[in-house]
Amino acid sequence: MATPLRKLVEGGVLMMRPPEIDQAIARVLELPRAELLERAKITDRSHPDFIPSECLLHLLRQSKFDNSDRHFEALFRLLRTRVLRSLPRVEGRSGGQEVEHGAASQIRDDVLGRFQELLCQDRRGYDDRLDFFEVRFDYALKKLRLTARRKVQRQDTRTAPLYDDEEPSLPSKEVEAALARLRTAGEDFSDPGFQKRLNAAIGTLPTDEQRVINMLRDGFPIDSQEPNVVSIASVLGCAEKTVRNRRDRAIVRLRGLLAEGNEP
Amino acid sequence: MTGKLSADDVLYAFAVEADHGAETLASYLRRYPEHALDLLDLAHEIRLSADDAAGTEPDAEDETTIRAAWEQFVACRPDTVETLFEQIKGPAFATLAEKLCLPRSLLTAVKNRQVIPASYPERFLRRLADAMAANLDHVRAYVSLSPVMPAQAAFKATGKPAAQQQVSFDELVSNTPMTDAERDALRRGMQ
Repeated sequence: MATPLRKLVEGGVLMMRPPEIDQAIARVLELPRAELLERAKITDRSHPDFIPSECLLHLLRQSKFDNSDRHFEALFRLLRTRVLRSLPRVEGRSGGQEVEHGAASQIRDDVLGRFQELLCQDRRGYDDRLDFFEVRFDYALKKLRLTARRKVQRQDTRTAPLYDDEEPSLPSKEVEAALARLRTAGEDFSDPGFQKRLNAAIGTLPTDEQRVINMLRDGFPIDSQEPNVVSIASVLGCAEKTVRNRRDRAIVRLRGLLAEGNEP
Repeated sequence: MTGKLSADDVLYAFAVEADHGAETLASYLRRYPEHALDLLDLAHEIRLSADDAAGTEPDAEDETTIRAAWEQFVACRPDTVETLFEQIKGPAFATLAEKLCLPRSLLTAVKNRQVIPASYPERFLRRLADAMAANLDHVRAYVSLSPVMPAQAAFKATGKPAAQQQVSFDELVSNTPMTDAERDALRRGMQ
């Protein structure tokens, strides 16, 4: 039986692992150690003997009560490789876009460092942030990725020129048409790569414009008088006009980025 | 858990949701407007990373780095609550204060448990634990122990020495001499 988590979430409710993770932990606890290590090397998720990272982490967290350092060193290495696997390759692409070598490398080191810090703090006592990683390991890592990416962006923007909320130069009819395509990008089966190219292009926009475009894609209204409706203007804390300007400016940029032969 | 969730808790909770679609996002934005921008950016990060090439071999780490990480991990031993500050003396104490952007006198008051435990903002304890590389539960337990009697009191007092009366965290911040910028930075760090 897996030890219950300790993290309390909203309303003081104890966080639970998904049932399939609890079952997988119960199964791996029955395995002889040599077999467990062999199975932990499998990276193909569809393989029947694949062990989810949530289980590996659970075992590693329990290692503070065990002296078999050699066994746990092997687990530690395998889990670290799983973290690396979830990060953009240093000489590769992230989010469909080419990542500059230095930035990808900084993100990788930062995430690994933060994850290591969590492991160490947990070993000293208990760090309930790791409980989230036992629920959905790869997705909890995205939170660390965001922190790392922002750190890199902060360094970049120190040298980036400022821009203001000037009027864009695109007729509103064209903006509407471009937006319609943005919203239906996921359904555009005639061009399966479009969604990916679009995500990559949005990733290159200034943060303010990214937020507007992503909210529009999710169907949030620009503004609303209804108190219960989440609108872009209310979330971003700016005027409706500013939202429209950012949107229109982003469309101009995206159109340039997505034009044939000019992909991000 | 009582009170507000920290930014970390909200973001991790959103990250591990089974679905990150518009409805889930709207629900989080409604419940945690104070973390709206972080939530938007996290949703974007999740969407972006979904396009990463799956199943590719990760970059290999060099043996020295992995070995060092493992050694650091096994060297971590449970710290006891009472001895939490014992290794943090002299220059290490000054470095900790600097890391937290706090005047040393304020950190000393924390160390001597001159603050009413319930008055600590959760975010402050979390930052302190992070900066000390200590376990948050241990930090909470440490600040909840009885106040420490200042060493000099034992020699100066004519009567029986007693620990100073505890003050609230807000009072401590207000009473500690610091610049407006330092005070602002401290308050911002609590949000």
